[in-house]
Amino acid sequence: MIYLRNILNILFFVLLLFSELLINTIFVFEYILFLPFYIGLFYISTRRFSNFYISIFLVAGIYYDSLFSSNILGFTSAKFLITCVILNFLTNNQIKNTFQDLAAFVAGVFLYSFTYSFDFLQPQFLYLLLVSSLVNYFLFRILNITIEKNVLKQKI
Amino acid sequence: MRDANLTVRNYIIYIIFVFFSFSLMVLDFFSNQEISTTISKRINFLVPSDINFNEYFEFFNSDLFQTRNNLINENVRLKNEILELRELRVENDLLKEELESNQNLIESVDVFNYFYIKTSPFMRNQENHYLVSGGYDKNFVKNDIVINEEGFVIGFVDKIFQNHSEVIFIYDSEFSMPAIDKFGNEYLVENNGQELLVYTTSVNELTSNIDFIFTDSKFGQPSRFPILSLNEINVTVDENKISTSLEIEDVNFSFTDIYVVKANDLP
Repeated sequence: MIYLRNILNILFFVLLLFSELLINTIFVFEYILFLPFYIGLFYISTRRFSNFYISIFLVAGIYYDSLFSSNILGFTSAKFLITCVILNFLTNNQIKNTFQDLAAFVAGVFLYSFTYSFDFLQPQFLYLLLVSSLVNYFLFRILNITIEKNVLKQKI
Repeated sequence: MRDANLTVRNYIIYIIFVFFSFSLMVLDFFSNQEISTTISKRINFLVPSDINFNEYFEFFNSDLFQTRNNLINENVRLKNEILELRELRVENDLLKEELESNQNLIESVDVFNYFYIKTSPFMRNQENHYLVSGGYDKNFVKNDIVINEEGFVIGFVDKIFQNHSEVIFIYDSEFSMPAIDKFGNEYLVENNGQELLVYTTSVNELTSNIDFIFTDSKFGQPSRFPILSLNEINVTVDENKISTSLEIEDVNFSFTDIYVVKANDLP
């Protein structure tokens, strides 16, 4: 059962990564990137952090490196895992508030989008990441409210 | 206390797997990316490279999304367009002359020595590079040039997968390509992320009347495919150097018809 759950989670996150690439291919905005995979990663790191998700990020990274990028194999996996640990470290044992959550989200986006190219240092790219992180944080909050709301426990 | 220990233990396991990823990187690097190539060949069925990128745009440009406001605006736009067309008629005459010059250059490329594999971009990765259809299955090789329907070089193949490839287009910051002009001056066309820099690496004749710069077999490329026209660009000629720069926004091309050029090995 654990293996099945693990495989289903891997498939879900791989699909999420694929959908992120697809969405950013179809919608080309100058200052916005949609990051559904990152939203998932942020949710896991800050709300459900455990060893269970290591294999998921490892496989998703290998999937990306071997099929979509000229990166050396393992680069994206390492990036996902480091982002996950740092996000958890930033949010763990802190008083939960929106500002602190948003700051961690923004820092995570910068780590998540790191590439070893000059593009990463361009002010325009950094501005794009800043705007994207605000938009994606808004999407994350909406999703988070939906996930955490247990409709079965609500009184009619 | 127990939770804190558990978190620390989780961190340690995560860091062990980060090191595992780093060791994968080292292995892949020293095996000349053989590992990633093998994996990519085995799981290439997971990439739908036969999807036509342009179809997305056709869908989003369809009548489904047209509003009444758009139609009213279009009426106003059309009226303005008539005024613009009058100005364009004058410009058209000038362009005809330039087209004739271009045509002469394109005809000078020995078309029979090459064949052209049509390709289309279907996805953009996180590094902002486009993936195009065709890879090992179509014998693409690293540094194969990519041209548009006018015959201008717009990029080159960087990484090849089983049925798709990553292309570095002229507006990507990693773009760098050697070139030559009709006087035999050698150039490097380089994108620094903001501008397209063109400068000589070897000078044969100092002149500002360069016209086109194109590919050459000297650099291991198919010969005489134009990269840029420097006709209307301010070229600086120093004592031992010819240089110029172009804004990235000025380098526009469409994705509708792009081709990978391959040398024809058959006699």
